[in-house]
Amino acid sequence: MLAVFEKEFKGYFRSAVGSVFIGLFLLVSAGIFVFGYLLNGVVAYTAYLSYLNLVLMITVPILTMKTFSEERRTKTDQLLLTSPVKASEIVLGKYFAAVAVLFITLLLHSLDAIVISFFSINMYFLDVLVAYVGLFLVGCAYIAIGVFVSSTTDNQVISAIITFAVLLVIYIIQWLSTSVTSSVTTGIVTCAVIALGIVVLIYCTTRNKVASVCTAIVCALAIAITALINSDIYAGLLNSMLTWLSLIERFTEYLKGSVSISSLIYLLSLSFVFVYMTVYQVEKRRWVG
Amino acid sequence: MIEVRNLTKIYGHHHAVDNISFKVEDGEVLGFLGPNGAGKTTTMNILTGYISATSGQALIDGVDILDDPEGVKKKIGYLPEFPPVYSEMTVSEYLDTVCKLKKIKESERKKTMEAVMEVTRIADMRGRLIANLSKGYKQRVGLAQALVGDPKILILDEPTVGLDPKQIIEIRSLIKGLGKKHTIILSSHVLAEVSAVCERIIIINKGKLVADDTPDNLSRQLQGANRLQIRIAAPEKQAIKIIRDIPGIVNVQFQGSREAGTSDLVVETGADLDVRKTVFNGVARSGYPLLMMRPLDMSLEEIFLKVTHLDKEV
Repeated sequence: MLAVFEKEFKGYFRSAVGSVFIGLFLLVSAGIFVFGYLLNGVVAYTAYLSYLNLVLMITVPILTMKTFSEERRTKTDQLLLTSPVKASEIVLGKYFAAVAVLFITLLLHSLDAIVISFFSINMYFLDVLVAYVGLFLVGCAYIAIGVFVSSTTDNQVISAIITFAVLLVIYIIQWLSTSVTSSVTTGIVTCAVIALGIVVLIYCTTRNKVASVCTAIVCALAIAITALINSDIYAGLLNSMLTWLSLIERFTEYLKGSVSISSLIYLLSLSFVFVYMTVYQVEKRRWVG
Repeated sequence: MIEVRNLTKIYGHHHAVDNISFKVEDGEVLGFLGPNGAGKTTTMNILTGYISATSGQALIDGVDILDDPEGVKKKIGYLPEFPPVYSEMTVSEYLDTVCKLKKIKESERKKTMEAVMEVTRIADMRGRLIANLSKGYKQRVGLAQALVGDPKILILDEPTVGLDPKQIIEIRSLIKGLGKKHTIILSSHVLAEVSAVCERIIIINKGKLVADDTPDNLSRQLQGANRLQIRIAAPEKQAIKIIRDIPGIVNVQFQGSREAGTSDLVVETGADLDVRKTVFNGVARSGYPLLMMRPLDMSLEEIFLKVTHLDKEV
């Protein structure tokens, strides 16, 4: 894994991608700071950091767009995949290289916090640190998504655009949670859609009609029985699910200076799921071609 | 040893490789021949573990690549159709990366790099960015990459494409030299190359194996008829008449007249019939001098065309 990590990490600075990412991130965030806070005389550092989530949404696709798509286009993936290296090592090497670039960027960015702390009386070291950790974890999840998208296409521009679109959807989920109705019907429909998704997934992976139909019947019965016994469960179900799913909601916790185990696990598992899916994607390509 | 058993790769409805089986012994240099799109690259990609077969097995020293991918991949050096080089690296940076990927010990890394650069003659280019190298040099860097770690088996997909004639001769002699220590599979559609370098040839067409033999045997087996090229100091009509009168001759073709007052003919006889004596005697009786007589062997090009046209097992 170290070999891939080293190659990728150095590669970020051999090509312009790493420097462009760091430069763009620092430039845009500095712009937000100067025009949003400094010139208005507002010093709310953690509130400022919340905007950096948006900056990450724009810059992370640039960082991850090349990871797999460029190798596939130039066929250099043949070297990696025919070397005595596991697919998981390749994916993790690439993932951690991007994470390392993000880490350096945030380290450079934290110099701002140190400078500002000299002039501000109401800045608490621990709060700011927790906010940075939150930002870093969110960035890691974004990178995992970007790396996964990159492994599905051999066009890096498409890879960047799709990554950005996915990150945008994740951002919007939070708005949806406040705007969807909290009626019982919505809850039931939501459960039905999820059940349908599970059934389709089972059918696609096993191609077993009996198992799929059985699962469908069990799910339908479960939903119906719950609805008859206590329909209140379904009220506001979609809203709480969306809130739970919302990455921004989790990030906000960190900005407030608090770290809950559930949000830590949420962000880490989001990274894990997408890294795992990337490994699967790389392995799968060998079979499908 | 490489053993391929009933290898098949299907893309949708297209059989890229269709039930191919063959064996390559240690130290053998095998030529893989076939028109474009015959399935050469697909077979090589399966052997090296880049893609997987739909069915069938590829065994390296008796081990399936799916059972022990890392162990098997360590034994193989692969030069794909497009050398997998990173253009933003210099030659030495690239080979260093390859050494690390192939898990060469740090103490041996420098020695390995020097050795492969020496063999492929790219030591002068070590500080150059690969992006600025010519196609020929990129190909050599790709070959150097395949040689890293001194693998037992070398799989080379069209190794001389894009090289100039001098480099082609160099690479061929290099491969011949490597063949003494390594097992090599080499694909090509340049027939001269295969006959110059390989001890055994496998011809595949449309995913199917159509021939598997030494170059000499192939040419002998495929020769349905014996052919002679002769030159007689006689005008065309007389020359043809003289030959037609000789028993056992199936076909006579006039090929022109290279020297004044002579005729060049190609004479075909039935299989396994040596007519050189009767031709000599017949011409001598006619009173016209026989200037030249030479048996025509089937060239590899002809074999190739014949085999890929017949599309049947030989």
